[in-house]
Amino acid sequence: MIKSFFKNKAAIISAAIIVIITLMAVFAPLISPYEPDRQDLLLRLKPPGSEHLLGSDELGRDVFTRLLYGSRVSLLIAVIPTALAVIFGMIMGILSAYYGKAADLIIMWFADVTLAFPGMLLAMAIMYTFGGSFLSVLLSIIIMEWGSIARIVRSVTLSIIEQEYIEAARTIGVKKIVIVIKHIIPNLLPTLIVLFTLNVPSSILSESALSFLGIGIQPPNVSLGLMVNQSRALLFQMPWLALAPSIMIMILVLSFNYLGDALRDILDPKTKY
Amino acid sequence: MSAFIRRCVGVLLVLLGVMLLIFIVLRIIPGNPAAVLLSEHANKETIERLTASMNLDKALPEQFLLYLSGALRGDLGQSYYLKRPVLDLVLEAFPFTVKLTIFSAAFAWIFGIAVGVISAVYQNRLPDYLFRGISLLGVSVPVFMVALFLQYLFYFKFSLLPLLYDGSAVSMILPAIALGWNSAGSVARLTRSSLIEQNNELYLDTAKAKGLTAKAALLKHGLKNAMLPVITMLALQLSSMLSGAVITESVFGIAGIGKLALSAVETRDMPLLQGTVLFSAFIISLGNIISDLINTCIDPRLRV
Amino acid sequence: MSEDKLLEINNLTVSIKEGKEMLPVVRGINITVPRNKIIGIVGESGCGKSITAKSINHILPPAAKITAGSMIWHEASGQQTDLVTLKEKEIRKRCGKDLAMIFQEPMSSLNPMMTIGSQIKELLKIHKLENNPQKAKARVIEMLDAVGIPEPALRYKAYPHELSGGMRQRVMIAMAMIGQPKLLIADEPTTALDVTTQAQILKLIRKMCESYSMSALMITHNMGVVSSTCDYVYVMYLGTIMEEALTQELFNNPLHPYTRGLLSSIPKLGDNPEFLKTIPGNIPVDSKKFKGCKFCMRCSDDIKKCFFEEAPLYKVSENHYVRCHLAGSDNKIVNSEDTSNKAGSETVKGGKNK
Repeated sequence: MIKSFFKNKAAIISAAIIVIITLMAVFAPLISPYEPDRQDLLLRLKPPGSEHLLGSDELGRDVFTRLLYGSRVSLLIAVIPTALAVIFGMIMGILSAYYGKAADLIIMWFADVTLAFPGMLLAMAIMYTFGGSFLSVLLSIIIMEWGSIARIVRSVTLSIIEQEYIEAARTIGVKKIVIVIKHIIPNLLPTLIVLFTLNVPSSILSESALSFLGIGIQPPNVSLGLMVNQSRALLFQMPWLALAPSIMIMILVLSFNYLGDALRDILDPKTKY
Repeated sequence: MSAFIRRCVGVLLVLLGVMLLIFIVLRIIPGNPAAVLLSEHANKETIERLTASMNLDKALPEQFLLYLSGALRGDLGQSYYLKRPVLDLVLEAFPFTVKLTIFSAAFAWIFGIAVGVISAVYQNRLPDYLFRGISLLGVSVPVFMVALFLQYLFYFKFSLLPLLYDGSAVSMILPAIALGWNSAGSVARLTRSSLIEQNNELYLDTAKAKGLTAKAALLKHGLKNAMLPVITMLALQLSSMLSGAVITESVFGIAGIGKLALSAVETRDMPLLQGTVLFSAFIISLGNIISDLINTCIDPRLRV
Repeated sequence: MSEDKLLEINNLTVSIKEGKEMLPVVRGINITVPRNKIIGIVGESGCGKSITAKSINHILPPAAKITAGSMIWHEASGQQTDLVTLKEKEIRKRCGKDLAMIFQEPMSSLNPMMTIGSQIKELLKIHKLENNPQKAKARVIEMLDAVGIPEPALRYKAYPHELSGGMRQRVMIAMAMIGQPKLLIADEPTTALDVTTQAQILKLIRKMCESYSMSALMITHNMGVVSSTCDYVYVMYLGTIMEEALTQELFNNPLHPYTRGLLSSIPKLGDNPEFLKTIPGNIPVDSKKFKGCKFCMRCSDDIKKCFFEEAPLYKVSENHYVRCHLAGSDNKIVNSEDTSNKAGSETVKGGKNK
């Protein structure tokens, strides 16, 4: 399995890009001499150059530095709520598949309800109630993503429990919870890993869209979507201000998509999501 | 037919859940919305009057039932900020969103299916790598990036197309592409994989044994079979398009549902936000039923 | 009498790509299909018989390639074409018109989204046999009637899922026959059907061969199918022809231990069902280094020689050849060297006159 991962060039390159960007985001203070929100009105709107790698914005802040700090937020918001959504979706999917008809009906109904919303509009309702912040973006991403994850986990779980060794374990009286922990979850792992990798890009896109609209992450915090929002007014004069964070988002999303595709081919070739 | 009725009942139950969820989400907010609305200087009496008129003095379950029965009669409440019935506002905005969605769906489907088919026919050859790259790019760029990029290129650089939507068909081109871009990517990817899967089907051998070349067999026999999952994706696409419409409409200044919802958040207009969200969920459910119907029409095995 | 030949397969070798290696699954076989005869290829699953069939009209899976040999198609005019060398467009012009094929799975061999009528009619359109849609439809209905489909005009509009397995196989036969081919390749045509339907379908194929003066290549693992339909039989094992003979001769005087195994594993009425006869062992995993007889691991009569040297094809009589040291040693060796292991070597086997 690991061997076939290293044979897959797309997987290695995209994983490498993700690692590099993550390291740059984590060690941002060491890489950049500037601070993301330090304003220097004398240095406003400098074009890209040796002093400011990607220029400076309308408040004289270094764009490259802000890009690194923005990637931090985008990566955090991509990874944490996606992981939570996968865990929640897994629990709900297993409950639905393995614990009775009533649980199945209610959970799948609830999944259908959250899937019936256009994600962005539901997120906007959450923003309305809790205000634009890291936590409310996190919450809305979980609500947007858990439903489809639960559906897939449910169907994979159903195919796992049909297998004979589970049947055998049940007939000799192994407790349900033990079967879930010892047999079902380990068998679900490849699916969960792939689901996680494939949901990260949509989390990044959701966060950036909300922040772009001005209702997600709020200043003085930085996020990639927020940077695009703040530079919109200067789109025609200084396009790189909007372009740099957009391309950063694109690279991240593209890498995770490639990685997810490759992982799916390697870990879970039969299933399609 | 009974399967269809069961499906409709399911959709109704989901819509009920949708109403319940949005009702709860918008009301966990602490404080009295009437007081927030009226600012600090309003006297107690005014606040109480407004509270009563908005049914805010009643218990939450009663509020929900009142809202539900209102919604069934077509009454989605009164906008706080614009002081007009929510339904009127939604119905005024809806045609713009419909127009945008239709244009971008047409773009997404024509472009997406074409790219997917070419990719599948030339599997693992140069055109495939090229188009696979393009379609992966399609699903990987944020909507706002496409929108801003199109504005920069076609308005600012080449002055070919208008910056904002002004009601003309020409000004709809950029928003339609911006919104359809992501969907085109996912339609292309699904078309490709679904068509390639058809290569394992035995009826393609039959077609070749009949005298069709591999390419012709794939296009004449495989494509129709391959389209079934693509059509099932229609409802999902609709959902992501309505999400994307918020951004596209705000960038291009289109007075559609998405822009209405955004302004509802910005002006803290709870009934309006509730109405727009509910309405778009309703549209998506409708889209689900329609894609079911289309599949039933083209797949003889589903006909009863 | 070469004017009697329709298709002559010489030294055909087909290999499947596995990793970086090409594993031969059909090893230099020689098969002759005369006009107006039904030829059988019999063997266990995995012996390469389906691959042989699919290589004729170039519908091999992408991993498989013809690596050596020729397939000479003899026109009535005497003109000869090697089907192996044809480009895709040229072979497709022959498919449906000269060569037709029916498959094992009538369930999935038809396009589920099209009516059976339009699927058959498509062949007339492809080969421009009938451009008038009304006449084409009439011809299809006539053919559906000929293959024994009741109410053909009604069934014309039916979708495959609305028909039973036997009916679908009849549809496949109608589709094969409508181009009036000279050779019908039938790849396990009855395997997926129940027993009564099997007999009807075999009878239909025989009838079609007679009334359209067509040859057939019948691929099967079932000796019963062979005895009831074929004129001449090739027994294939691990990509090699082990024995070939006229059907009657093969059943009366089976020489190769493998053929005998196949024959004795047909259950007869009165046999104790608890002791169904089988050929011991499984098809062995192929090893390129092994030079002996491919069957010796499962053979009950093997001698030492079998492990070191593959037997040549011995000629037992004009209509009977066998590749076995024991059975053939008193007979004349037909091919002096082993063609099956040396792809590309010249065909030495003499023509069989029938």
